[in-house]
Amino acid sequence: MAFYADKDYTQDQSVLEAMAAVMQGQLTLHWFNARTEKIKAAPQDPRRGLTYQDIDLGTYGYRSIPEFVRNQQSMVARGSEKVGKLPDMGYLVNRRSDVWSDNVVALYEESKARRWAPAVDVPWAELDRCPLSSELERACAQLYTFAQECALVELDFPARWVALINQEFIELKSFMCAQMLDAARLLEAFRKRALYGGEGLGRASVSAEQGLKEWLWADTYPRGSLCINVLLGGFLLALYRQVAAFAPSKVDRVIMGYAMQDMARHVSYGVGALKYHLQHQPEQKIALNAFLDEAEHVLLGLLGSPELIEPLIIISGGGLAREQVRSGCTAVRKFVELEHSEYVRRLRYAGLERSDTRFQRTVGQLLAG
Amino acid sequence: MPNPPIKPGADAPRLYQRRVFRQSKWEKRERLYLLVHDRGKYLMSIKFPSLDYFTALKREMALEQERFKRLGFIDTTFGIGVSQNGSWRNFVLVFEVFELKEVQEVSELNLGQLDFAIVGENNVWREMIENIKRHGQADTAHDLNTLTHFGEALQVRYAEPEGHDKLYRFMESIQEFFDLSSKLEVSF
Repeated sequence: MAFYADKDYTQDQSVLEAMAAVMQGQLTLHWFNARTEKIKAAPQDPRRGLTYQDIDLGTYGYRSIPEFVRNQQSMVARGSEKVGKLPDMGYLVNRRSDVWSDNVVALYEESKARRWAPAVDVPWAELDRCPLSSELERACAQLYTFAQECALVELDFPARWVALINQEFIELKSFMCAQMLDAARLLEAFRKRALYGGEGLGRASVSAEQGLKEWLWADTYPRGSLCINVLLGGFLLALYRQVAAFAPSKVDRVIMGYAMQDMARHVSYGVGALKYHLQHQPEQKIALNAFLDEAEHVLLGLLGSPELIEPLIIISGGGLAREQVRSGCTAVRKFVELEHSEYVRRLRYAGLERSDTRFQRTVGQLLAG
Repeated sequence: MPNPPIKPGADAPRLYQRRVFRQSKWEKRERLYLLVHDRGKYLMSIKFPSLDYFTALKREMALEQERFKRLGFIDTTFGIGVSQNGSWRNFVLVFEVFELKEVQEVSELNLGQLDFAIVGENNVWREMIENIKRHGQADTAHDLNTLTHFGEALQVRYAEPEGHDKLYRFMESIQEFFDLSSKLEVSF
C-alpha cells in the first residue's frame, strides 16, 4: 500500500470510546459550530434546476480559486472548515491557469443535460430494415474500429490526470469525469454499431496508435490537453461531421449526430483552456509552438492511416465502384482541408499563431498532389 | 453567389442593433398565428423567409417542450441569412434553456454578436424545408450538417471558433427545431 493512515483505528481507544458514547445518545455536536460561510443557494432559472453557476457563492465559489493553490493539498471540500492533520494528496497540478477554462462550468452542466444512451437512442433496427451493401458495411466496421481506438484515448487522458489535479478545481474535475463518460459512451456506440452490422471489427491502426500514445503521454497537462482536446478533438469533430454528412444509414447519422455534440464540448473546453493558459502565462507561447512543431506530425499519422482514410473514402463516395471512389477521394480531400483550416483558426483564437510549419507544408504538398 | 451583408468581427462599422418591436406589432403577430393555426392544423400558409415562419416554429417548439428537454439545454444566439434575387433577409434567433426565447429580423448580421450564422440561397433553404415536409424530418442529404459541411450549399460564418463549435454542440436541437417545419404549411 502506498499510504497508511496515521493510526489503526481498531486500536485507538479514544475513537472507540467516543463512538460508543455517541451511539448511546451523547452527541458532541461540535460540528454545529463549523466556521464556514452560511449561504443559501437558489436556482437562477428553475428550468435548469440548481446548477454549479448558482452556487458560485462566497468562499464556496470557483471564482475565488487563486492562480496558485497553496497549502490546500488535502481532499477537503472547497469552503469547508479545515481542522487537524489532513492528509497531503500530493497533487501535481496546482495552478489555475494550467487547467481552467471560463466555459468549463457551463460545459459540465451541458454535458449532463445533453446526455444520451446508445442502447435506446440509436434506431438499431433500421440496419435490419435497410441493410448496407457488403463493401459499405465493411467500411463502417473498419471506421468504427478506428473510432474506438480514438475514444479509448479520449477516455484515458482525463483519467490519467484527474487524480493529480488539486481538489480545489471541483468543477473542472467534474467536467473531466463527464469527458470520461462521453468517451465511454462513444466507445460503446461505436462498438455496438460495428458488431450490429455483422462484419465484426476491423484492423487496428499502427500509425494512429503510435501517434495517439505520444499525445496521451505528453508531459504536462496543458500540453496533453492541447493534444487531446484541441488536436484530436478537432480532428474527431470534423470526422464525425463528415461521416454524418455521408452517412450510409440512419443509424450512422444518429450516432455521429450525438458524437459531434459530445466532441464539440471537449474541443470548446480545450480551446478555452489553451486561451486561458496563454492569457495568464504568455511566456508559454514559444514553448507551446515548439512543442506543436514536434507533436503535429501525429495528425498525419491519423489522417494517413489506411485503416481510417480508405473506409472514409468508401463511405464518402458511397461504394467501391470507380466513380464512387473518385467522388470519395474528392470528399476526403475537402475533409482534410476543412480539418486543417479549422485547426489553425482555433489555435489563432486561443493565442497561438501557426504559420509555415512542417506540418502545414506537408499537408499542402499532399493536397496539391 | 454574392456575399451576404455580414459584418464580420467586433470591429464592424455598424453594430448589429436589436430591433425593438412595439407590443402592438407582436400582438398582431400573435393574432395572425391564431388565425392560421387551429388545433394543430394550419389554415393559411406561412411565407419563407419571414418573421412569421420563425415565430410559428417558436410556437411549435414551445408545444414540444418534452421533446426538447430530452435533448438538453440549448444556449446559443445565431443568425440565419436567406438570399433571393440579390437581396437578403436576415434573422437572429436567441435560444435559451429549452426554447427559442426571441427571434428578430435584422437588416444585417453582425458576427461579433452571434455565435455563428448560417447563410445561403433561398432555393437551398426551400429544398430543405420541402424535404422536411415530405419526410417529417430532414433526410441526410438535406440536414443542416450536410448542407453546411463543405460550405457549398449553405455557409457557416463565425467570428470565434467557440461560437462555431456551438453549432455542433447543439446540432440535434437546432435540427429538431427546423424539423418542426413539417407541421407548417410553408410557401415561398
